[in-house]
Amino acid sequence: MSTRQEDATLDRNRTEDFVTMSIGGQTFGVPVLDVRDVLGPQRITRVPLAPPEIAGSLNLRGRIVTAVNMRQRLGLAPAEHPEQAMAVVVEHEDEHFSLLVDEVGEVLRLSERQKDHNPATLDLQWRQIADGLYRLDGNLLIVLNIGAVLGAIRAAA
Amino acid sequence: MDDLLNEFLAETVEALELLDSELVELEQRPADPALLGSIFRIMHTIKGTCGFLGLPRLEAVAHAAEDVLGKVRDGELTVSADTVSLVLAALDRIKELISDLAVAGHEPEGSDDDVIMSLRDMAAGKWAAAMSVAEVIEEPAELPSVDGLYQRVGGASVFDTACEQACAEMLSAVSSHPDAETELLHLQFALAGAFAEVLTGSADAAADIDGVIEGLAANGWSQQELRMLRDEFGKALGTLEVADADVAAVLSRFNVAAAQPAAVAALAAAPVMAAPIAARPAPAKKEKAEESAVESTQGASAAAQSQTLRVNITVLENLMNMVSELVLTRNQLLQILRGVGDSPFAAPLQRLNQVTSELQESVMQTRMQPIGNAWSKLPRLVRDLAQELGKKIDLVMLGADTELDRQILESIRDPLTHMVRNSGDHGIETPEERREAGKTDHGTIRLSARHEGGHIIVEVGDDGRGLSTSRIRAKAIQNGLATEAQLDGMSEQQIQQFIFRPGFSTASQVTSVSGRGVGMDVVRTNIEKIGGAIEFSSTEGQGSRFVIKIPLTLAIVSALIVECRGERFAMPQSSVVELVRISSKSPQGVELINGHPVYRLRDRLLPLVALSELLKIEEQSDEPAQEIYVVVTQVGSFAFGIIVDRVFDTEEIVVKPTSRTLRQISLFSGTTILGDGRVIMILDPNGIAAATSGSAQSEARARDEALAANRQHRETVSMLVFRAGDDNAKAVPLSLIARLEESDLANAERAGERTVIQYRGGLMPLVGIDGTPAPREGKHPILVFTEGERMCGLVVDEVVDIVEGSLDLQLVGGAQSGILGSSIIAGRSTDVIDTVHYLRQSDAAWFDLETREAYGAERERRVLLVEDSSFFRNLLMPMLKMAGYRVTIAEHAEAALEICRDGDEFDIIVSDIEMPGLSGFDLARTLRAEERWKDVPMVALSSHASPQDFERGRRSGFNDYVTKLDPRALLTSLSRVLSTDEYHEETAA
Repeated sequence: MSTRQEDATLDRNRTEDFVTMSIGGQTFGVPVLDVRDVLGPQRITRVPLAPPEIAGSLNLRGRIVTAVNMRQRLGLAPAEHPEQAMAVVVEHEDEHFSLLVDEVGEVLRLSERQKDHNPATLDLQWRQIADGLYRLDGNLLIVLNIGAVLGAIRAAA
Repeated sequence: MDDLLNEFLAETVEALELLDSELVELEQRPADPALLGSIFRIMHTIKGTCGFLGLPRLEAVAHAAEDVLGKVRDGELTVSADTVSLVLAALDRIKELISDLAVAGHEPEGSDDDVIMSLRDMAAGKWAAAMSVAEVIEEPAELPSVDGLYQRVGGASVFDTACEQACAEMLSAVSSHPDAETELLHLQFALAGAFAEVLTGSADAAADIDGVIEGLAANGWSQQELRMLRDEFGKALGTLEVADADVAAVLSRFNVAAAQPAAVAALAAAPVMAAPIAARPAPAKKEKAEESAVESTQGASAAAQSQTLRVNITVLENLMNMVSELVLTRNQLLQILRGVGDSPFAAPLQRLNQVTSELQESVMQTRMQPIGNAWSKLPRLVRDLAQELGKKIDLVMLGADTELDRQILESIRDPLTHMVRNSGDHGIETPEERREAGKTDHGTIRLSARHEGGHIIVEVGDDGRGLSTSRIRAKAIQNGLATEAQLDGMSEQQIQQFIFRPGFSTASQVTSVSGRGVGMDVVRTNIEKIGGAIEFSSTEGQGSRFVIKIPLTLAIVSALIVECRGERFAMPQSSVVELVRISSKSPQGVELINGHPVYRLRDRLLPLVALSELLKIEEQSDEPAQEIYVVVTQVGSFAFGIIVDRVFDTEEIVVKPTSRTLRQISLFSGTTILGDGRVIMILDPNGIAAATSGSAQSEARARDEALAANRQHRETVSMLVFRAGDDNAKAVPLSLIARLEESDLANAERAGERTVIQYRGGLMPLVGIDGTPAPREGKHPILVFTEGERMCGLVVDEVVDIVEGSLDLQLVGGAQSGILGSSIIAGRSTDVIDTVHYLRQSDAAWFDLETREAYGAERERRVLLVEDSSFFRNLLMPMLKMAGYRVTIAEHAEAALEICRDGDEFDIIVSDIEMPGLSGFDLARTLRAEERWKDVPMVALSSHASPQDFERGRRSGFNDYVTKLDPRALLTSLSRVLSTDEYHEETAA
């Protein structure tokens, strides 16, 4: 408890904007500045032999973007209608990736006051890619660490 | 003025690079006046330009350096390592200033007195004591009177000033010319330089002034303007208090008429010479006219130079990107056109298609540069390295004109520099060390480049101390890169690749030259980034070699679009040999050999691999496809077929790198976007080939492990199992069979005692399994064996299967002739037949005779055959005997050593590689170390022969390496090795 207060006192009034998204009923957020684009369902080319998290590649205005199946990445069951997935395009190490999520919500401005650390009970797979969470009205928003989400895929491949 | 400065910077940087390498060359060839002239001219131009642009620091350094070079040219100084070092130091200072200038736009503050003072000392001859007196510059045939003129007029400074004044005057007169200012600036230095050349009598310089004038005329200067320039120049000299007679003498060299075509020149000469200056001596005039033919070619090259244009790289890159986009759009349009059939757009689209292709080709061409551009800094680097480390290093560069894409050139520049530096620093030994090792003082670093099938192969090698595998091994363990057990399972070649691991450096000392932790891993990363590959091989004491394979271009390639289970892929056209369509109605389809598909393509068996299996794309339907396509692919010498469902057109695709997350998949080399906007993966033929033969490799590895575990040795080969005569299954190694045929024996004919059949325009004898001439009835499969030009067909009842079988012969040489013995193949006792027996049966007379002749064994030679497998002993011994060799057998390497040490003499030793106990490599190394055996030819035998095996065999001391399943290759190799050996003996005697 004391550490949190120390953290928080540093900059209690700082706010950050997040693009919110829903994956398997859980709300996640990615800092707005990390998001390059949000797209509706896309035609995705499967890539044989790719790591299971990689849904394939897609053409974003002449640029080839690798699509990451976020349900798979989070160890959740496959979506009922995978073809309806929304794509959140992020940049990581000079390369564009498209995160396939169930739904994309609004952009929220969240204050540091609402922020909390990862609960110790969060399972390892999630803890590694979560950058803390925000308490919203009625639910929690987990902040996705893009580097961790994508970095692990490369290492595993 | 900014444009001027930029142009100056670009030109000077180039000039400095040229100077670097020319100076190093000068050190090698100090007596080359042309080289010295060129160096002097470049330095002079730099000095002049700096003066014009108001760059005093640069000018001062350049001037001091030029003075030294001038003394060298005049023979007052000799070219020595000191002279060159000092001038190079001045160049370095100039480079520093230039790079500051490029950043800040003006010269940095500071003093160059240190450099200038040393240069002055050198010029004043104060360094003379330290200089080598061995080599004195040979002066070219000089014109002393003219040289005197140059000095009388006042030397370079007066000419420079006069040229400057004249050009300034001209500016107002020719301001109508578009680039008057720049042109005059160039003119000023060209003229000053040219005068210096002409009047000091440098070789071949007489045409220089004419060249300048011709260049002007080519740029649209009129005769009148040229004459005016000459007059202005004369006036300027006059104001500089040069005697009138001298002015006239100088101006006589200023031949305006040179601007005219040769025929006109003679006519024009008179009026020009009549101008109120001085008459030029008549003989000289005549000479001029004779030379004009030569001059006109020089004029042409001057004109060609003005045809080039400096273009900013980013402009080119943009152009390339736009062309890429255009190609994609074109593809898209063509796709639409195909869909609509008849369209009024068809014709213009075809035209667009064509223009786009041409445009693409041209743009690609602008990006091609000779690889020598990436090497230009290396001679200097190697020289400095040699000086610093007290070594003697020669740098040999081959294939510098090999062209490749600029982007790739840039990416290999640093890795190459790093490797050369490494070779110089770690590879080449000091002269003392080299002498001790029995080598010449001079180490050699060899750099070569060549095209090879859509790739460029660059090699960097040295003849230095090499890297010992044991040290790499120790280091790998020490750095925790691998465990001892892992290393034990690796080949020497694999262990050597550890030098590419991050943080790996075998240099025990960190030197100022290399080994600062930036290692070969960075080199490898950079090379792989552009789709290249790098390999390292080294022999301790003999040197190291890097082989880099890089693609010609990254940008656009032609690719065949194929479909497999509904997914499309692009296959680079460069490795596609042909396409075969096989439908269920085809007379011959895909055949299975032990579950592995093969296809008979004309006269060879093509191994097939299904793309769906490689890519693990699951079957969508169990129903066999009505038709399939085989993409016949060639990678190196390996040909194979890739089974796909459909084949579309070829398309020009723009290659984009694969995502980092997918880069580990070796079957893909990139990604691209098709005309219809969909993303597809580009297949990598190299990766597929590796994956295809990979299973064989992993088998081999598994076998090696098993071998190490229980010290039991087995070799497996592909065996063709068939039935003939009795019920016993029979087998023969697949590789001994040239072809499989099926013929109706009713067509066979009787020729004397034999049954023959017309086959491929000749007659092939047919024999039955019991050795008798075959009956002439019914359809039968025929196994065709060939030997030289002759062949023989073994008629069998049925071909059962092709299996991988071990060759442990159980009952060697049973009662039945033609059977080598029995082996357990696919769980059944199987007779392994002796192909030699049947070849002999079919035509004993020719076989003995022909093989003897064909392989040139006039006298009986003694062969020691070391082979642990009884099958191969039984196979090879009769064959060797038949070819006229006297064969001694050793069943393992230890036995062979015993036989050798017992005092037996052999002309040649043929040894298997994989044997229990000592391996063939061990045997070779042991024997090579013994005085008696160190020159006896040795040939390695192995069931698999990859280039690495070959290399390893060669290093162990084998003269040749052949696969044991190809008896003819063995015989050829034996006779070749023996004949070169004799040749050596003769030449030695």
